[in-house]
Amino acid sequence: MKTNADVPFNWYQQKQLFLKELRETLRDRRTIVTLLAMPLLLYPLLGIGFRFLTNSQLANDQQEFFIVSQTEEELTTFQSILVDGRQRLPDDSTENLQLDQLKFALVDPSEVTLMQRAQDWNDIGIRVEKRIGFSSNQNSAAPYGPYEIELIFNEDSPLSRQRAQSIQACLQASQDYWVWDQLQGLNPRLQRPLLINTTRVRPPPGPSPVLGLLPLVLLMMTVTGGVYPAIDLTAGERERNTMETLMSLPVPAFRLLIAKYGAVVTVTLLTGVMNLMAMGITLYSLQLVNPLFGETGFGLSLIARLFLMLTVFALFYSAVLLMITSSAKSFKEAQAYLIPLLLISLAPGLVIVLPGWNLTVATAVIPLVNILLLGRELMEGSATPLPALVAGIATVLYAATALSLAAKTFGDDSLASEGQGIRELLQPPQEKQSSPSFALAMMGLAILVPLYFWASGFLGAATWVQSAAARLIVSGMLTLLLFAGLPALLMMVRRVSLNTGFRLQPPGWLSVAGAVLLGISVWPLVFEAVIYSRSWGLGTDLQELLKEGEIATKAQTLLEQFQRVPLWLIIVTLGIIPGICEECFFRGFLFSGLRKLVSPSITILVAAILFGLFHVVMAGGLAVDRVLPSTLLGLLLGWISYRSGSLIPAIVMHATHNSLLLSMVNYREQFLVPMLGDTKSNHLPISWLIVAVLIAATGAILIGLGRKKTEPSAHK
Amino acid sequence: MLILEELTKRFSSGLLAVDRVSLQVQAGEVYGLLGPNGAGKTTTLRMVLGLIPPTSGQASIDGLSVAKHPMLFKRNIGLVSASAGLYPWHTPREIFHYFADAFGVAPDVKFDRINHLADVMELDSFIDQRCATLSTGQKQRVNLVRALIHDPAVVLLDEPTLGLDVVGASTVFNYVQWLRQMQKVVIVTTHQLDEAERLCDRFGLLHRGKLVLEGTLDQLRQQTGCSGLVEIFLQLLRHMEPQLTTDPLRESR
Repeated sequence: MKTNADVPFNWYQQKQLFLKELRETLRDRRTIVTLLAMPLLLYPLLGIGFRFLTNSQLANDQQEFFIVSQTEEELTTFQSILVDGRQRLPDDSTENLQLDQLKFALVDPSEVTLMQRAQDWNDIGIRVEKRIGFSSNQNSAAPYGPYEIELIFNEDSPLSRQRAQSIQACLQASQDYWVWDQLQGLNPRLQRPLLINTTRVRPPPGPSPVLGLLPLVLLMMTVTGGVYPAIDLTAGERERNTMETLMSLPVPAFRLLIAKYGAVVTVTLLTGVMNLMAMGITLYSLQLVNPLFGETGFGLSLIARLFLMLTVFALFYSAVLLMITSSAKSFKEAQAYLIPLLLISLAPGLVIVLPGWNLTVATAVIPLVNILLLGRELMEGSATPLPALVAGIATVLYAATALSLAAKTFGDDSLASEGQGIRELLQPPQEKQSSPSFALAMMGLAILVPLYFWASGFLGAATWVQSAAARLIVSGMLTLLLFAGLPALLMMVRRVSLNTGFRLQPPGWLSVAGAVLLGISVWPLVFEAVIYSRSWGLGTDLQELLKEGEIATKAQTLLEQFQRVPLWLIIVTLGIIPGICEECFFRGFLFSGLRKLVSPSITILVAAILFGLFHVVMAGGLAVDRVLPSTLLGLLLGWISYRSGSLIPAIVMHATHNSLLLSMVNYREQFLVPMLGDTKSNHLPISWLIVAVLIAATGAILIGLGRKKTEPSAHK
Repeated sequence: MLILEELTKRFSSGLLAVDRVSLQVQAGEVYGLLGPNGAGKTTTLRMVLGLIPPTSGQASIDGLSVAKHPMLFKRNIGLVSASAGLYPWHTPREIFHYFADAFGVAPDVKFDRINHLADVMELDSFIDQRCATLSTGQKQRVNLVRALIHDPAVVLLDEPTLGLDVVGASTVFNYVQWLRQMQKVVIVTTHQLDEAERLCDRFGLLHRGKLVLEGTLDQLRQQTGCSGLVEIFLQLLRHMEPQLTTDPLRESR
C-alpha cells in the first residue's frame, strides 16, 4: 500500500489501539456514572413515578362517590326510579355495571350546597320535584311521578360525566318503559318503531403504544452513553495535550478514529445493556410489565429486538458524535456542538409518533428518521424487508461518511494553530488533486442514494412523461446526471482532475479486446449464479429467469409496455448509458476514493459489494438473489479496471454485457427459445457454459497480459 | 542523517510561517533550533513530524522522504514535548506498551526495551501507578522514555525543560547526553539559551521563518563578534527589528 498505507495494516495493532481507547474510557469515573449510576437510579425512579401515577388513577377510579340530595324524600324517590330503570336495562350494559357502585347521602344545605359537592367531590347532586299542575299518576301506569329531576355534576371530571350519563340512561330506560306501557294501553296493536339489539365486541389487543415510544427511549440511551466517551476521546486529546503525540504515531488518522469509534460504540452498547437490564428489573419488580406492555410482555424476543435497534443506533450515533466532537478544541466546545445534535435528534423522535409516518423506501433514506421508524416497526412487528434494507444501507453509508469526515478533522493541526475548524473543510484545496478523497467518495455515495430514490419516485409519479420512449430517455438522463454528473460536480468543486478522478487514462488495446470477450461471454455465468442463488430461495425456470434476471427485469417490463420502442433506444438507455455511468461511479470515483484508504483488493471488494447492494435496491423490489451475481460482476469489473489501470475496459465490458443481454431478451422468441429447446432444466446446456468459460478465460488472459498502467499515487 | 531541504509552510491565511529552511543534522549530533516566539520553530518540528504537510520542500531521514513514506518516516522519529500530556487512567507501563504496539515494535523486543528504559530512567517505583497520580518530574521522565520506545533514529525535543525544576532539567541534560552517545539525531528547540549552549553541538537561529544564522558556538562567535548565545540573539534581533529591541533601562540612563 502507498502513502498512509506505507506501513501495512495490522489487526493486532488495531486491536491494541481499540483496547487502549476502551480502557481509558471505562476507567474514567464519569463514564461509570453514565454507565451504571444513571440507569440504576433513573429507571427505579421512573418506575416508582409511573406506579404512583397508575395508583392515583386507580384510586381516583375507585374513589367513593355519592348521589346527594337535600331531603330524605327526594333521595328515596330517586332511588326507586333508579331501581326501576336498572331493571329495564340489559344486565351486561355498561350503564348498569356503573350503577352498582352507587351510594346515597344527604347534605345539609346550611353547610354545603349540591353544586359545591359536585365541584369539589365529584358527587352527583339531585333535585326531585313534583311537576306543578299535574296530579300524581294521572293517566299514567308509572308507579311514580310526574317529577322534574335535576342532575348536577362536574363536567370537567370524566368520571363524574360518565356516572351522570349512566344515571341519565337509567332514568331514560325507566321513562321509555312506562311511556310505552301507557301507549300500549291506549292501542294494544301498536308496535315499537325500533327494536334495538346491541352486540358489544372488542378488537384483539394491538401492540402496546409504549412499544412505539421505545425507539425514542433507546435513542436517548444511546446519546447519553456515547456523548461523554466521544468528547473525551477526541476533544479530550487536545485538552490533556496528548493529541500531538498521538498524531505523531505512524498510524493513519482514520485508523486511530476507527479505534475510538469502536470504543464509543462499545461503551454505548454497554450503556444500552445496562439500561435494558435496569428497565427489565424495574418492570418486573414493580409489576409494570402488564400495565405498560400488555400482552406483548417484556420477553426475550422484545429484548433481542431492542438490542438490535440499540446496535443500529450506536453504530450511527457514535459516528455522528465523533464527527462533531473531532473538530472541537475543548470539552466545552464539544458540548456546545452537541446541544444542537440533541435537539435535532428529538425532532424526528416526535415525528415518528405522528400518524401516517411509516418506513417506506422514501423515508428510509432520511437520516435519523429512518432508524427511528425502523425501530418502531421492529418493535411493533410491522417492518417490511425492502425499506428496512434501504434504511440499513443508508445508515451504514451515513455513518461511514460521518467517520471519514471525522478523520479529516481529527488531529488536524490547523484546528489548533489556525482555529478555522470545519470551515476549512468546505473550502476547495489550493492545489489540483489527482483523485477524490475517501471522505468525498463517501459523501458522493451518501448523496447518491437518497437522490436516486427520490428521482426514481418522481419519475414513477410523473404524469408529464407519457410515452415509453420519453420515459426511457428521462431515465437515461437521470442515470447520466446521478452516476456521472454528481461525482463530476463534487470533484470539480474539490478541484479533482476528472480525467484521473474517474480513472479515464487510455488503456492498452489488449485490455479492451479482453473486455469485449468478457462482455460477450459472461452472461451465461451470471445466469448460472442467479440460478444458484435462487436455488437457496425461490425456485424458477429458465424462461422466467430470462424475464426477471439481471437487468432484464426492467427491460422485460418495458418491452411489454413499450412494444414500439426501437431496440437501439433501449440498448442506449438501459445498456450503454448505465454501463458507462455506473462504471464512472463505482469503478471510477468510488474506486479512487477507496484506494486512498485501503488496498486494491479491499477496494475491489467494497466497490463490488456496494454495486451488488445497489442493484438489489435498484430492482425496486426484493431481488435479493441479485446480490450474488451483481457482486460477482462487480468483482470482475473491479479486477479489469484495476489490472488495466483504466476505467475504459470496465465500461466496454459492462456496456457489452448489458447490451447483449437486452438484445437477447428482445429476440428470445426467435433466438433463445428455439436453441434451448423445451428443456425443463433450470440450468443452461453445459456446452454453452464450456464455450462461455473458454471465451471468458481468453478475455481474462488478454487483460492479464495487457499493460498494467501505474496508478497515480494517492495522498491524503 | 536528517535533511531538511527548502522546507516551507504558508498557511491558508497567507502567513509564511517557515521560509525555505534547509539544514542537516548528523547522527550523534545535537542541533539547537532557536528563535523568538513565532519564529517558526514549532511549525518546522510539526512538518518534520508529519503533523502538517509542507507547502514546498521536503524532509528526509537517511533517504526516506516524509512525503513519500509518511508513516515509515514517523517510525523513525521520537517526540519529547514539555507540554505533552499523558493518559491519566493508564499506567506508564500501559502507555509504553500502547506506543510500542502503535510504532510496530515486535512483541518480543517490546518487553525488554520497556524494562531497560524504565531501569535507565528510574521509573520502577511508579511504572504501575496511574499517570494521574504522578508528579510533574515523573511525568516528564515517562515522556522521555515514551519517545524512545521504538528506538527512533531522530529525537525531537520541543522545549524539553519548560516548567521543570533543577532536578527535572538536569534529567533532561543527562538524557540528551545519553541520546548523543546512542548516536541519535537530536533537534532541540528552546528559549533557554544558556541551556542550549550546554546541550547543543550546533545551532540554527530562526527569525520570521527564515534560518538566519547557523553554526557551532565558535562559528557563531566569529560571525557575530559576540561571546554567548544571549548576546548573539539580542544583536540579531536589534539588527532585524530595531524598534522591538530597545532596552528601556539603557534608554533611561
